[in-house]
Amino acid sequence: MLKRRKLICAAALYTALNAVAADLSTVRKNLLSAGSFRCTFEQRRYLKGQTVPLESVGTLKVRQNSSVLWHQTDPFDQKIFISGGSIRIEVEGDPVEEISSENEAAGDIVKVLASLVSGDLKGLDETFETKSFEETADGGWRMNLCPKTELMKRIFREIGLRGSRTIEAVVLFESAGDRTEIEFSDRERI
Amino acid sequence: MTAGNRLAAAIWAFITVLLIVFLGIRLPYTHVSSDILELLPQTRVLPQVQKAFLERLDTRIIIASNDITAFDEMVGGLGGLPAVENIRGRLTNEQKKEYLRDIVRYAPAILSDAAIRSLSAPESYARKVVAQIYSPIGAPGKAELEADPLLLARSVLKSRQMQDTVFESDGYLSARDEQGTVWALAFITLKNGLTNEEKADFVSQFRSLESATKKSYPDALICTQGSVFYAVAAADSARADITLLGSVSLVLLIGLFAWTFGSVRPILLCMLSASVGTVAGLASCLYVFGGIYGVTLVMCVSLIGLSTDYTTYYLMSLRDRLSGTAWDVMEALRPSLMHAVLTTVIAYGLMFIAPFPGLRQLALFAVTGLSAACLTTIFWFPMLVSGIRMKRTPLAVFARGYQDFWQNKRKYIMVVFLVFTACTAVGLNRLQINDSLLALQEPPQLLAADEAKIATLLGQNFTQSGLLVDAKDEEQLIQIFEELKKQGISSDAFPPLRSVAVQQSAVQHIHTAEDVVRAKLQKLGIHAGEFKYSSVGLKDYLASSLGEAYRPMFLEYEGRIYAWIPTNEVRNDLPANVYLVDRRGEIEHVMQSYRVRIMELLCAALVLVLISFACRFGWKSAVGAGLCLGFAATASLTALGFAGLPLNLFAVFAMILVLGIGIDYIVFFTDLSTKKVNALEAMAIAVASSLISLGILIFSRTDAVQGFGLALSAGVAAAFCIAPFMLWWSHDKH
Repeated sequence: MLKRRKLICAAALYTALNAVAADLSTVRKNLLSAGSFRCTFEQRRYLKGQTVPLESVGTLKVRQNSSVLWHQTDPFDQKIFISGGSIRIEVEGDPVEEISSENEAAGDIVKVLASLVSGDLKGLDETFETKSFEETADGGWRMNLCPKTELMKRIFREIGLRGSRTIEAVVLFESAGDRTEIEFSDRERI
Repeated sequence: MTAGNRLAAAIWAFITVLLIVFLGIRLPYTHVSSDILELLPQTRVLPQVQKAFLERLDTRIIIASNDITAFDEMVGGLGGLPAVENIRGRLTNEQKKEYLRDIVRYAPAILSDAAIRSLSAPESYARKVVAQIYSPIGAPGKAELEADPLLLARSVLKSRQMQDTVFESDGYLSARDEQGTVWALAFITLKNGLTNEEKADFVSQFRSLESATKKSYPDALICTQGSVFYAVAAADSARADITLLGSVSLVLLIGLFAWTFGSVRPILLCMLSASVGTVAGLASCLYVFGGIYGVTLVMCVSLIGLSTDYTTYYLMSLRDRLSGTAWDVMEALRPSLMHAVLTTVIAYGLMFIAPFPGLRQLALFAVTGLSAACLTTIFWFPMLVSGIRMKRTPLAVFARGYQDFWQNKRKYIMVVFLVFTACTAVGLNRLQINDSLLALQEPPQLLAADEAKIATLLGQNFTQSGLLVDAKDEEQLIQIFEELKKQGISSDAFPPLRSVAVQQSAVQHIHTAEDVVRAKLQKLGIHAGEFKYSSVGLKDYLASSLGEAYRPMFLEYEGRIYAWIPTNEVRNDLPANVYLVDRRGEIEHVMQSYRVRIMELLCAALVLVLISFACRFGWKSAVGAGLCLGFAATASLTALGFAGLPLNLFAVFAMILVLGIGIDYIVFFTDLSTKKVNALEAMAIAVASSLISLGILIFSRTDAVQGFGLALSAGVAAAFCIAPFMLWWSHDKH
């Protein structure tokens, strides 16, 4: 009897996992066809122990398989330009930093950032694995990712993603206890 | 047998017992060195300091793997080995935290020039810190900002990852190869003062672990580098040479004597004289040098086979005597034997002037060993041969024929000389002179390939060449480093540490920027703690987690501080107290100059030997002997040329030995032939035994030993072939 119950449980789990896999595959397919786009973002960064977040807004421009421009316009002007695995940062017009992908850690972070904002879930496969996936009532989906590599584990505890045909929001749960929420809107193809 | 003979035999027996007891006590504690550099002369610059650095570097092992799981299994297994003292590879969380704490603490000493320049503009620096807080990814957290408001640790880590060949990745010390693949690295330190057996045990355990790991992860590449692997490989090679060549030589010698004498007693007598010779040679080496080198031991074990010559000459004389007792025969032969020993002592004694401890050991072993074997023959053998029955040996027919050839076939002799001259011309033309150390110790190919891979990963060389810096204190040392860096000398061994003066200026910049950054962070609700940044000296830096990798490169000795900077860059304009140490180049230069000097001495020795010959046999015979020895020496060089082996210091020493052995043959031939004894038969047995005991060295795994064996064998064979020339020269019709 016990054996039979175990079998039924295993079969149910197998079916459920298959369903998750099928849904994830559809989401990936749709997201991958997102192409080049422009949108606005709102970011709220909650430092550990603080209730008032550090807020910033700006625009995001993604050229498929080519470049990402994160342009923060408020509270000060900051541009983060990711292209070909390297990252260039300008603060209020001053170029302050350039990181090459030859730097192991920076290279991985650049890849994750580019994949997250451009909706390239495949690009996250090397460093993250899917912890949970659920469809929402409005026809969208929600998923949580866990870091696989030591480097990512040191930075993130978990990443939450919400969206439908595109990624609409990202929540970064950092290992140090801080949290960053980013919402994307006004998306248009370019 | 007279009372005097009895007394001499007893005294010699007493001395032999003493030598055996001495060996019995010392041998278990004897250090048989396999380090090729120990075999060679001491360096001129700060030898004690260099030795201490080399010993320290000798305890280091580097492992690199492109597969993390294989790496973890391998390195994890090494932790349990008794010879391992310390492993640096995967960093624990505690180690990482300590590392970051030390970075902030010692920031003024290790920040890059660009970071210090950036701190000198506080407003701009503060903007940059705030901008990082708003960055969508990789932003500093509150805890990090409170512990390091200027984000100095990030700055240091970033510049280190950009500049350093070895960086931290996923918690592993790593390096990237030319294809961009990241390799995990482990730096292992072995315990100091490991014995040869402990080293061999460690290498065996290490290799088992490596092969088990490779079996579990067939696609994983694992490379290793460390002096201990070379030392154990060299010891294995020397041991295999001694065991194999020694046993083969012994079996062949027994076979030769069984065939020639057809009786057991001559074989036992030969073994007795060789054994006493070995005991005396080894005991004298242990007494004078305290130990013996593996390569020397290989040559000594073969060389002692020459001692059978004395037994052979005595037994031949005994067999062919017309009248008298065994003691009478020895009485008649003693001057020849003593003369042979004297020329041997002159020839081998010349090697004492060599600057190489290895060759001096060989000289001492040869002089004492062969003398002891000869004394054994003189003092004991007349007692031990009573009733011995010996028939004419199978070589007698050959010997008679050969003697006849020299006396009656003079036309053919001219043809033989012409052929020899032609061969000599070709051989000498092909002969190359090469003093490379590789001839002494060619590293096994797998070890060399692994080392090349790790050298590429780390951008380091393992050739033991570099700069030795001598300073009165740590501050002077850092100033010398700054001077060397200004001269464009690059090395991973320079710790990223500034002089105190530069650090103090960095501290000022940090404090100015800190005030501005703190104010900006407070507006964002982040309240950073108070920090006291201060300068740090080399000793404190080396004691911290940051300095761990650099520790082996520094040494305090007799109140001064020394640094070892491995680099391939050779410069003549080095600052004061900086010495270029190119151990290999230095040794090769010494080998070259001694080769030239010893060739000159060889000519001087030839003159000395011939003078002693002239005193006994007359000037005409001495000139003939000189021609014979020249012929033998030329044959040695020709053989080397044909075999493609270089003429080096070891080959030159082989020629000295050819001189010693060759003169023995000429002495015995000249002396015995005048006594109507079939000298050539005795010499044929002697030369056959010499070729077996020395010729076997041609099969050694070490090029230098091979060359030594070939030059000796060719020279000895040529000396034998040419010896009857003395008959021709003196028109003796015996």
